[in-house]
Amino acid sequence: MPWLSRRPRDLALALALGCAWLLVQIAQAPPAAGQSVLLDRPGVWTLRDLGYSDIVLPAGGGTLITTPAGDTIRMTAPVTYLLPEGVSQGPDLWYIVHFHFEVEFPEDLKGGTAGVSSVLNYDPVTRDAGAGAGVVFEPVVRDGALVLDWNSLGLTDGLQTGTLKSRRAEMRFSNYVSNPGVVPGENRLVFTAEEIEGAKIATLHVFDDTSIEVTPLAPAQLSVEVTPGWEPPASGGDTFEVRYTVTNVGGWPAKEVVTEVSYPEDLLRLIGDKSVTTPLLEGGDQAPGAFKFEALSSGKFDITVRAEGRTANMDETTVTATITSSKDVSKAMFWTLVALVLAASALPLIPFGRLLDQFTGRGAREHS
Amino acid sequence: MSYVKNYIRYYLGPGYPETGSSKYSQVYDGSTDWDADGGRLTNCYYEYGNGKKRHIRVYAPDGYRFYNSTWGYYVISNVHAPHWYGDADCSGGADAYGWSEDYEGIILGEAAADGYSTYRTFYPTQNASNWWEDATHYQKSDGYASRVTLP
Repeated sequence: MPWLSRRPRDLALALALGCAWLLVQIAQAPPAAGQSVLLDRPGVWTLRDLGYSDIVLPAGGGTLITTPAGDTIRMTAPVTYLLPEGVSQGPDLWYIVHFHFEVEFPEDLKGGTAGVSSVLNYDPVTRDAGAGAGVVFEPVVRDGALVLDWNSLGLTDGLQTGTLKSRRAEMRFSNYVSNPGVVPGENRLVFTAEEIEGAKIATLHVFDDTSIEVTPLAPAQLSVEVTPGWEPPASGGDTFEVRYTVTNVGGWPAKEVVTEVSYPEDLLRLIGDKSVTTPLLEGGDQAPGAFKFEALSSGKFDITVRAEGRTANMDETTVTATITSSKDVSKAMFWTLVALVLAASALPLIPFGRLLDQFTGRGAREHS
Repeated sequence: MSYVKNYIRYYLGPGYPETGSSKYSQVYDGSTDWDADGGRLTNCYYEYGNGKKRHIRVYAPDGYRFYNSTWGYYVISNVHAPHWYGDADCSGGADAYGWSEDYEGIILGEAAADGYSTYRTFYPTQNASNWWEDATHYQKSDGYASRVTLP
């Protein structure tokens, strides 16, 4: 009865698959109420993973903070999670907040400045906190209509700006959290609506795919080197190249890396473009290049190669080009020729025959 | 908490109604930028026989703020006081400028009285100098920048 011999195997397989399914469900299940999740390894944890759903801050809602200047900051209830003992922002692991939200402004918005932010570990006594990702809005009237200029600054995307023509917008911003936002034990993530000089936010809707990322990728950092073996030109009028390499020694991609050269423009002529843009330089990657010059005059000139990225620091290196004048070269050549002529004219005076005999020994044998 | 420069201006606004002349500062925190700021001045006040104003300027690159993972969002600021000797109205051009350390302390006191967290010797700037003066300037530096934390 063949089905009997297969039955134990089928049962075992069904049992294994069932256990696997069950384990997956357990792993994906939201944490129990009041239980914070420990973020103890690289990964991305959404609000859902942390046991939270969408968070909505209605007009006038949330915890109200009034600043000494009379402005208001409204704050959601905290999203809590745990970080391991000894944790810090870098150098081995880094913490990034990815903030996904929709903001709506009231119809009677006229001016002021509004901010939407993700903030960590706000201390109501010191008013210090860890900065996350956020954006600033400034309503302005342009061509007779109210628009919202916005700007956001962070280490993942640099400075971003734009203009909203609608009172409602869905936006995403990310940023490396500042140091007070990474502490051992419980961390508290809140979302704030900042209303300055009369600006108001009608609704702030935080989506549940807003997340905390734990990553080994350090912020982008640029390093510029002039390639060894660079040869300065011999004389004026020559062309020469300054070869360089820009490296992202960080982990996060560096965006819009601009490499440019500065030099004395009345003494050197640049052949080609003064700057080169690399749209994206991944962590660990290099962008080599060269700037080509024609020397217009002799002397020593500093040439600086500088690289800067929208999401990365600026670095530069300076080399000195030594250019010999054509007159100096001609003079050297002249005296070299004079020496050769003098040497050549002395040739008939040299007893080559006797020297050859001595070398070969023939003279000695004839005289023996 | 993601913007600072305009917020500082608003905080200073009521007590610092006057706009000053623009000066330039090259600021660097990963990228280099020149920023110009006229800053804000207080109204004239009479103290120890001289008319005075407090003048604070705030510098930051495009985007109105810096960001790094150590300090979060921040701006750079400096303060000094123009003096009008014996003139309670501060009329005309000032006779002297300076006393930055003294007025740094005053600004911190104002911020603390308003409930902001302050830290006098927050960051070593390695520019300590003894008292020096010329015909119109009077200065010294303790070699530290202070910090005012805004919510």
